[in-house]
Amino acid sequence: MRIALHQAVLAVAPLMLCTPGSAAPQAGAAPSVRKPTVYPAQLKLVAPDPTRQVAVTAPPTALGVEPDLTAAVRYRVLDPTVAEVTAQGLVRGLRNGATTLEVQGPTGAVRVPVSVSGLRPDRAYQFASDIMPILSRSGCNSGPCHGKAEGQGGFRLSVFAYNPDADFQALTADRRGRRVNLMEPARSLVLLKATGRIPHAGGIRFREKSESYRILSDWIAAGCPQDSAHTAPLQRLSIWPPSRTAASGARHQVVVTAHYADGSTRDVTRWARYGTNNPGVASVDENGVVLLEKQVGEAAVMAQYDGKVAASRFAVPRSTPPVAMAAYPTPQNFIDRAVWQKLQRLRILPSDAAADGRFLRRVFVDTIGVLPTPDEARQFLAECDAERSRKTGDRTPFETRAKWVDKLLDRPEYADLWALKWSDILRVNKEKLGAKGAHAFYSWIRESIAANVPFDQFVRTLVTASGSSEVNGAVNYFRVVDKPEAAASAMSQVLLGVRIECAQCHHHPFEKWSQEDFYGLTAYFARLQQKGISGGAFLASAPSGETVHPKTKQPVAPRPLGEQPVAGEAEDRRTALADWLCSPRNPFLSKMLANRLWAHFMGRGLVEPVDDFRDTNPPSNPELLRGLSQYLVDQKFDVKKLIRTIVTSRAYQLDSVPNATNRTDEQNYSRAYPRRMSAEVLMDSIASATGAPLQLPGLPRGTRAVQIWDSEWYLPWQSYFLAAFGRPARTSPCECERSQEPTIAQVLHLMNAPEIQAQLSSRTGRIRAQAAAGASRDRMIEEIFLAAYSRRPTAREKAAALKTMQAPGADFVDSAEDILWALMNTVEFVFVQ
Amino acid sequence: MFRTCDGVNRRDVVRAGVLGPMGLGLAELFAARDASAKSPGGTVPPAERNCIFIFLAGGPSQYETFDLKPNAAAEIRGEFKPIPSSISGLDVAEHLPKLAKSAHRMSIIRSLTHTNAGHGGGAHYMCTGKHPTPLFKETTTRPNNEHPFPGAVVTRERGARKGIPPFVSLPMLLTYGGPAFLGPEYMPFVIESDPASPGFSVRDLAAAPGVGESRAAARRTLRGVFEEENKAALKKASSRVEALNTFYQKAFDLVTSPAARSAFDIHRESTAVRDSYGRHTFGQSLLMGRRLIEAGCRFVSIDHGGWDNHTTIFQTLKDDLLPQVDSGLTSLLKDLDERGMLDSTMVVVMGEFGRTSRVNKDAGRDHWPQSQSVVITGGGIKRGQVIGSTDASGEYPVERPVSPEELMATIYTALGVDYQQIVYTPLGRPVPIVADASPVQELL
Repeated sequence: MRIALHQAVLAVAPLMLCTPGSAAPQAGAAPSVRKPTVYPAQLKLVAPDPTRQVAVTAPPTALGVEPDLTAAVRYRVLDPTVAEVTAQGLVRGLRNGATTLEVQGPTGAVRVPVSVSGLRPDRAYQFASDIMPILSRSGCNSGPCHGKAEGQGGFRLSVFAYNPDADFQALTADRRGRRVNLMEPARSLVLLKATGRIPHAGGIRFREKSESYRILSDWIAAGCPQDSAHTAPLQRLSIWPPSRTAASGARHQVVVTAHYADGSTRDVTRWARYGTNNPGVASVDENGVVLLEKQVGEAAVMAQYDGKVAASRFAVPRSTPPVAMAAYPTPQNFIDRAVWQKLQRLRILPSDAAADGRFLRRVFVDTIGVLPTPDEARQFLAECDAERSRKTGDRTPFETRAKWVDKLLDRPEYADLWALKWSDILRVNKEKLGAKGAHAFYSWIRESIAANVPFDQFVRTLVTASGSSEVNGAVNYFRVVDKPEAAASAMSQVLLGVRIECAQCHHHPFEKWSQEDFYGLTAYFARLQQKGISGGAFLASAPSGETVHPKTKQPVAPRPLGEQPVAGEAEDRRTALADWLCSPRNPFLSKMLANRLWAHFMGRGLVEPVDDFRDTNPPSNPELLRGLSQYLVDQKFDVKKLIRTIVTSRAYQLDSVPNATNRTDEQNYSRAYPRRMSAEVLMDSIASATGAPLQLPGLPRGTRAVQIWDSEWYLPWQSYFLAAFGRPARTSPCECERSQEPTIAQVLHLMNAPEIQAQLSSRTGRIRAQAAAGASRDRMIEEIFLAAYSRRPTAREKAAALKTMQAPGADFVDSAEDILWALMNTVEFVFVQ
Repeated sequence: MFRTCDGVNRRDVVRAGVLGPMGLGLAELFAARDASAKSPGGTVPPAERNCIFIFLAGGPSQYETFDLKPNAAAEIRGEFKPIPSSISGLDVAEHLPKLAKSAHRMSIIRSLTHTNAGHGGGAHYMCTGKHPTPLFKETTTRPNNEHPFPGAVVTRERGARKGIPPFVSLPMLLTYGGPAFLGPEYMPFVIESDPASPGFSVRDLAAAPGVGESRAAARRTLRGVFEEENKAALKKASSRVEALNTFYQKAFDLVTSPAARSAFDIHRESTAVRDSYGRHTFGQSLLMGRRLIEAGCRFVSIDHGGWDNHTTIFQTLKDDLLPQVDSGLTSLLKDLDERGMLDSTMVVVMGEFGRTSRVNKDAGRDHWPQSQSVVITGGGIKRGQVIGSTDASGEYPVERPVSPEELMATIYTALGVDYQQIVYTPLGRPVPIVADASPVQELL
């Protein structure tokens, strides 16, 4: 698109050259590449809104960024009776005809043909097309103001303008129409309030000299026409530029265009609402001017208008020359290629590969939720050394690492860790399900994971579960989400990664989802019937039963999210739902799962939060997300295969220590992001490091915290520990219910809890066992470091540890305890790095 | 264990203590009689004011505390007689004799009113000033609020004074006393231990038994060496790493800070003072609250259960609950006043709702959210005021009805917090801290 524009501009002559300015510093470059380009290449100004924003771009600089000149150039309309232009490049038609816009930049000028048509003297503004955008842009219908359910000060608008008819009524008819004064528009309450002429809790929204004021006032004077019948529906929104490489500190004008079903377009740059997904990189003002901040990275700039969304990607690279792909390490698989490409755009280099011990600890905790034992660590480190000594060049021992990954994926602890994760999301909860139900549900989850049942089959079994909750553990899910609405919103969030619950009561404020979408999903569950039986429930689909739309009171047909209803009625509507969900073409399921798995291993989802996919929250690396989800589909939803691919990638195996180029990068995976261990894994890690297994009352001997299948299982000490470290209560389908945030109570507990001290000094624990076996000081220190960190101590660490053990009067066992205590209270222990 | 009638089993870790000896100081006997209502100290800037938030879980009866109806029919007025208090025109229940003499140190809202008669919903509404959404579910989880409790908001606004946590819950977390979506960094420091028990100490504040002070210090030094080795590499690697290190520093401050250690050491109080508050969990929690505020804490929440009196209400209140309130609250107000702390320390006492006018067949009263009496004083709140009134049967406000939103707006205003500011829920929904309410100006 940009190339086409460039050529279009080249055709415009003659070219005027000026003194080179700072915006285009390449002295001696060919004149043809020094001209700015103007978007759009032609200005067709058409009534009813004969206005267009232009955007002017300088050619790429030596550093590969394209500066925006929109506010830096001078504009002139050659025939000022046909059109006028502001200093910011907003062109407005004044009478039907043709002229030329001259854009005078520091390095040259370009001319853009302008045509004005369709202007009629009798044309009046209309409600939906002209007035609603003003209400939206001025924030009148936003959530904290008149858009909230009960309105504000008696004036109630639909949140973000999803219901134009009701809003028209509210503005013109409610309160006997005193909000608009047809005789004296200037005395209309809506204008007096919005301009602050009379007190307005929401403050001044626009001035009397503004375009908003003029349009509203003209519309009221014209008798508040609602809408003419022939208005073509809005089909889509586009934003220019679709992507842009920009320098930090720069400003860039975007241009937003609405495309209608009749082929007409309208410039809605002034009327769109804007936002970015990464405020550290970019912010955007109400006129569509993007300000690039200090931080290096990528940000999506979103524009919303009349329920449609368009996004533009802004990349702010480091201000150094571009980096060649040859500077990047050899990719292990497609993941590395996608990550490196993104990093190359930003001129960030990945950190070095993580040291062997650090990798081992990371991959153990992430994949199976346990720390390696000291003996495992010794063996792994030795095998890595052996492989390294065989290699030249890049000597990272990938083969040894991959071999150990395969071993991990076969261990039973794998199922424990992932059953815990899915039990959180699916809410295995004894309080709701009773002990029998919760255990049956958990067992079904764990057995499915242990057998590596393909995820699509797991989903099909879950959403179509029928029969007795004791016999079929999956049935319990419908006892957790026991109403059709709850089932729909949880299913959407958990399996589609779409938070649709907003749309239960109102149109989703940031998205296209409407109440029709919500109730269309709900209808799949409308016929479920539960009968209480001893110890649970019996679930079956009834032959009839409908979901009724709360506004229209009409039955709603089942409808896949974002698609048309499927003809024909299945015996159990959920079968049709499962067919849609598990189809290889389903646009949600594989992306949702790929993103959750990626987030688990990398510390951050490509879409974040992981269950909040929407056009206004685009993935940080769309190519990578596509690659991962396609891999899942190609591998028939084999979860272990995707995990293996992720953890054997070089991206996963990067060190967490930043280099000179990636210190501020927190979303492009140029290094490993440290993550605090989850509550259960941390508790098990303390048991593992101290060699003192947990004693969990009421659970079989040797049970680890990760295996506690019910989040409400009451344990005198462990419940405090797990709650303090953020174990979720499983009352929400959101992964965010599990807290990773540090608190002072956590720190105090790790430091001082008598229970942890008891593990440290356990008679059968690691330290006393080593002492009894006659371990030397050196051996003891190594053992402790391997148990806690999965690596040997550095020279400084070893010296400090030895000093502690050799201090006058130091007790061998006590001082060893002190060393392990100190290690368990460091970031390196509590976090996976 | 207290169990409210909704069947929610509250995981209380402490039990209300039995009543201790009721010391009645001379000063107390004479102080109150003709003291006039004192105006609040306008000299303490709102941002420096603190709060002790007392929640009487279960729903205390207005008929047996601050809104007696002696002229109503017998099945309404109940068994208790009114006695005059040091606020002219305010009679209180006969089983609050000490508080009656100290009433000039507080104000009463008799017309607090809402419509949620569920324990969870009502408590959520009262503790946060926001009615729960339709998605709200009552669970055993603590905290369980959808909307932030004021202690968390104040913590976010002001942070900690040195060496002492800004927000402490005694003896346990209030069910609706958490930060909700503001995030766990605004969680209170929870004592979870009974300050009335002889061996009371705060969880995890001192080194584990068997680890002496010098060994604990040596451990911390060694940890510092190990952390240093990693820190250079990890500097700025993650904001959470930074946060954890900050929390370690704060925790070290706390365990080594004389202010905190002494504040939590309730055994330093004289026997007479401890006796005056009452040797029960409630009284000693209030005393601990005063100690914490004195040491620099900004917000203390105190949970006191047992007020869901569907049966034998008169006996329970007379023998157990009212004497605890009488000794505890009276001593707290007097103590704060005499130490010059009442001007800077708000005290507010409420439950989730009031109780029904008619005594039921089990000699109890049931839930009634339409009227409730609330005590509020100190920290910029006028004293000696009686706000609002209820009808002859005590069922509905007739003058100056006060909503939970208005009460919360009053609390925030006195504490200098902009309660109209917008905060964002995890779904991105913008909500004000308190919606659509003005403070009760008569109290400010």
